[in-house]
Amino acid sequence: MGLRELEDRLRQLPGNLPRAPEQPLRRWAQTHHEGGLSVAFINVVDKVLDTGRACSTWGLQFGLACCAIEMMAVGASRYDLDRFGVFFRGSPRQADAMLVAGTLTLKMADVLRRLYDQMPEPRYVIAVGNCAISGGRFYHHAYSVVRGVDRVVPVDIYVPGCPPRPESFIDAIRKLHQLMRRESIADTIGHGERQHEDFFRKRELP
Amino acid sequence: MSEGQEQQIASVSSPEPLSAELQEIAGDLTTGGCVRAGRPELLTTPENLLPLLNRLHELPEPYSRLTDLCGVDWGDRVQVVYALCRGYGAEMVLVKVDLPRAQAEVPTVTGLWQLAFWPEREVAEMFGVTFVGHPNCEHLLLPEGFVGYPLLKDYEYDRSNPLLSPDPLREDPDAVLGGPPSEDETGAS
Repeated sequence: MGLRELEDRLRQLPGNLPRAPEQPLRRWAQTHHEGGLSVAFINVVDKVLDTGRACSTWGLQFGLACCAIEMMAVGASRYDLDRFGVFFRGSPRQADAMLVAGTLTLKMADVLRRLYDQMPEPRYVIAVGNCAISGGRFYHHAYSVVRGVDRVVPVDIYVPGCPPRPESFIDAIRKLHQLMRRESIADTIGHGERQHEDFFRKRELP
Repeated sequence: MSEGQEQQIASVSSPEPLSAELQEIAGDLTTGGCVRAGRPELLTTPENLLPLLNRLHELPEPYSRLTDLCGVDWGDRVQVVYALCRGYGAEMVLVKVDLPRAQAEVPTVTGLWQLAFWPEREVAEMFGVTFVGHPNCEHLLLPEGFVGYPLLKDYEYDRSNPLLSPDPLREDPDAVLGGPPSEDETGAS
């Protein structure tokens, strides 16, 4: 079965259809708070917040293997992630997105989960490289490599490649910005928990 | 590994007899030895290991550096290899100990070389070799609570671990997706 065919069939499954976002705050505003005015207020706040979020995405650098070299190249002056507002931080408490670049091992999995839990919401994860996506070349026999970062934390963007080109890394950042600009504070409440729900729903294929 | 493969490897690197000097120094403590690819190798037993290493360590021109300590799984037995160097160059001698798989025990050499602390911990967790007298033989690279010795040839990783298990979608997509698509489905899409 080819990859394209597999994707098509996955898309046909009822569990994988895009779900209508629950917007408890928006619903509450519509019913209780003179409707239109509150919704308009939420929309304005959304625009301001999303722009701010997307224009200064601070990344938690999580370089685990050779893809980290590529991450350094992207951060350096030639490809220059700074112009997209991405700055690498060493502390999870100052980061919006976690950039997992490289092979995740069993011993590191606990640490990754703990650092993810320490990030403030809303938080995003980008899995960079084949090892971070599925274990990559270690998929078949390795005793110590976690088969994909998405078994430990929910992943928003996958960047395939071994290692990926800096251009695809930048593309992932742009995709993340698109994702951020679609956010509403009405959705963001309980973002982490909902992400987890989605995550487990995605894993439980029928 | 079978006898034939072993002989094949040996014939490729064409072993030569030991030099008279080494034969005189270590002859009574070894069970065999040869020079392979220009490098002397001494085969010994766990009982004779420490006396042999001591003797090599106390020569007038001593083999005073332990450059490597590693394990090999030959299938029927586990081998621990000590690589000793002397002088300023890389004049090296390999000391090999054969251990039975069931009870792989060998005395520690941390008394001679403190640096052996680390490689012995690694060989212990990867090959299941017990280093008798080692000060603190915990897991070095593996996570705590890891079961099994992963560098043994017959080791199989824990497929029931949710972090390591094969992806069902990749192993058998038809089972996950419920068989190949029927004509109705393809027509609908």
